[in-house]
Amino acid sequence: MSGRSSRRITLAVAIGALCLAGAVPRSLPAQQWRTLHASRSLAPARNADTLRVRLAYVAGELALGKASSGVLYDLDVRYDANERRVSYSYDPSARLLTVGGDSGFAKAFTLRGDHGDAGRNRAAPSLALKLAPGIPLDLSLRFSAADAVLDLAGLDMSRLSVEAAASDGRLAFGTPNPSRLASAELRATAAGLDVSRLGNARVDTVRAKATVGHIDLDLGGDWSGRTALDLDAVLGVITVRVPADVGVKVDASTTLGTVETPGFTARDGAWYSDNWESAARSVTISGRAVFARLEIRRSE
Amino acid sequence: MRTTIALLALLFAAALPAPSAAAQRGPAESAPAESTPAARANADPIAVWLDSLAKDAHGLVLARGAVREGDQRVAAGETVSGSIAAWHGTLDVAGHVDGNAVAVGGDVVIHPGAVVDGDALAVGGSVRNEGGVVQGEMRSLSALTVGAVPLTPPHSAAQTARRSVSLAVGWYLVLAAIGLAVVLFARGNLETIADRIRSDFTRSFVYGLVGQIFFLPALVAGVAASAITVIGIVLIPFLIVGFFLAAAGALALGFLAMSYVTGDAAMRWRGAAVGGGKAQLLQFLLMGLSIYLILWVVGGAVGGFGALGGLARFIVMVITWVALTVGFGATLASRGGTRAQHPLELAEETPVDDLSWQTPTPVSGVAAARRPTATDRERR
Repeated sequence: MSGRSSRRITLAVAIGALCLAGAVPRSLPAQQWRTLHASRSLAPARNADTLRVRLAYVAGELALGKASSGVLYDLDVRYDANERRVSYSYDPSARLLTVGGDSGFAKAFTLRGDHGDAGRNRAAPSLALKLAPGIPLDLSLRFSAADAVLDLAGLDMSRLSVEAAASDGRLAFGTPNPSRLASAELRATAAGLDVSRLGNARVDTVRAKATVGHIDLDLGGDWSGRTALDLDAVLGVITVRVPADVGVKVDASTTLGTVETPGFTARDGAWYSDNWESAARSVTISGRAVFARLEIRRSE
Repeated sequence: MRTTIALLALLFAAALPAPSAAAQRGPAESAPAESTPAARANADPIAVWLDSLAKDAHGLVLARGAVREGDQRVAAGETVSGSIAAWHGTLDVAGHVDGNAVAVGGDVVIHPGAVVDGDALAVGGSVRNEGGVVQGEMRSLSALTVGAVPLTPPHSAAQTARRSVSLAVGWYLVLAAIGLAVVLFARGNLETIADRIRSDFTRSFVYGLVGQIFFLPALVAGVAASAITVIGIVLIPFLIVGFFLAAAGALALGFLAMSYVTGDAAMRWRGAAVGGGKAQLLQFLLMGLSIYLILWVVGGAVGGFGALGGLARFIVMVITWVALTVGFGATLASRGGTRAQHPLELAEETPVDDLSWQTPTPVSGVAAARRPTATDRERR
């Protein structure tokens, strides 16, 4: 009974487990893809009114761009009805377009685990929003677990806020902003955010915060006068690329972090570019790096 | 042999598909015939569909009288008071629609000069504006999406049991495969960890508990320390992945060692001859794993059935957690099985027999060694 019997039991359990593993049925949840396309014509009488846009998006591809002439907004969404719902609303009196709720990601798209959508099905969930050119825009974007391409060329930005979490975002100002942008707020949390031609935004103040992520700011573009950057990096990296003709002053503090300012001169606790006094346009950079790195470089 | 058959029968019984909820529902629980969707659709499919349209977040409310079957056209100069909808057809608007313009299973075409005061909506088609005016919104839906996101239906006790058994079997197979590799390539480590468990079960448990408690703080501290330097920041992702891999490896190795110890004890209890070699090591290991598998299968099979089932599952979970903790602790204490317990450590734990200090004294009379006393130790 002892040794031989024990071996038999062990063998039986192993064979039984193998058979059981083969007998277990496997099923994948079905998908129900839906598309929604919504657009609204622009009322000519209200061209001077600011359009406020609050957009929150989770898990998928996000695109923002310019709508064709005469269209106030154009929304194109593709989603799996078994995984989420799309909510959006437009309030004509307040001229407020809310896509995905105004108080948090969870309210935006009801998510219940978009597991491997991109892997199982080549067409991932997506949202594309096009906005009217030529009317002032107050834009607030938040996206999480998304691949975002935000092309602001041709749009008239009056206020901008972008928050990226666990995402890859590319923000581009392809053409000069018709009016001056008072402030731009950029946040990347466990995310990467590349901003190109930020100079075209003609922004007064940029506040950027990278937490366990990176932000790349390219100050190229058509701009003049002074602009200010306020940078915060925590366990992350913020890189600023400044054109050669722009005067630069960097005043940054670090806590177990580094500030890299190659080619700049240290003076009175700050770093200055050689053309700081003489440049027609200049940027003042203040920053804090906590376990992080700030890089101020000349763009090539 | 009967034991083997009984075990196989138990496993296969657990694998049998559970009857569906519909099959289980008796006639008394069936919904009344009048309220079934099929019955309502027979009555008036358009009315049923309009009800869904009103409930869709992007739909709208439409009166039944506004819907006409087939292609529809609002001619130039014509005015429709209220809304108009084409059912399975295209809606061409060249005139004026006072309300909404809707097409179901077709397109809405807004021709030049047309005016729609409300929304233009196409379900299963698209809205094409060729030069008209839509005061409201133009919306195209591929289909209606009514109701909340479907939730995973609650599992019956039988379904829960089946899932648990499947999970247990899956883990058993994975651990058995890893165990085979460990026996072949890291036998020494496994035996060292097993020795550690045998010699100091309690301390291994405490080590394992402390390791579990300080796992995340240690990770955070490691990340913070790495962030001091630029190279360290770059290495943080590798550190995090490596940390989790190491922990998973320690858990797996420790549990395998614990399974080996369990199997060894079971075989000794049954009076099996204990020799050595890889084959026997593997046999003991699989025996131990099989004991845990039986526990998991029993816990999973009865877990969904009442309070007693829940209690049984809880007990199985506690046993598994203790085994994992002890194995993890022994793995940590033995540095992954590379550091055998020092003989002095063992000696410290060995209780001193009152007579063990004595030297055997021949009858002829040889002076015996002095019994060590506390004072002697202090002098030394």
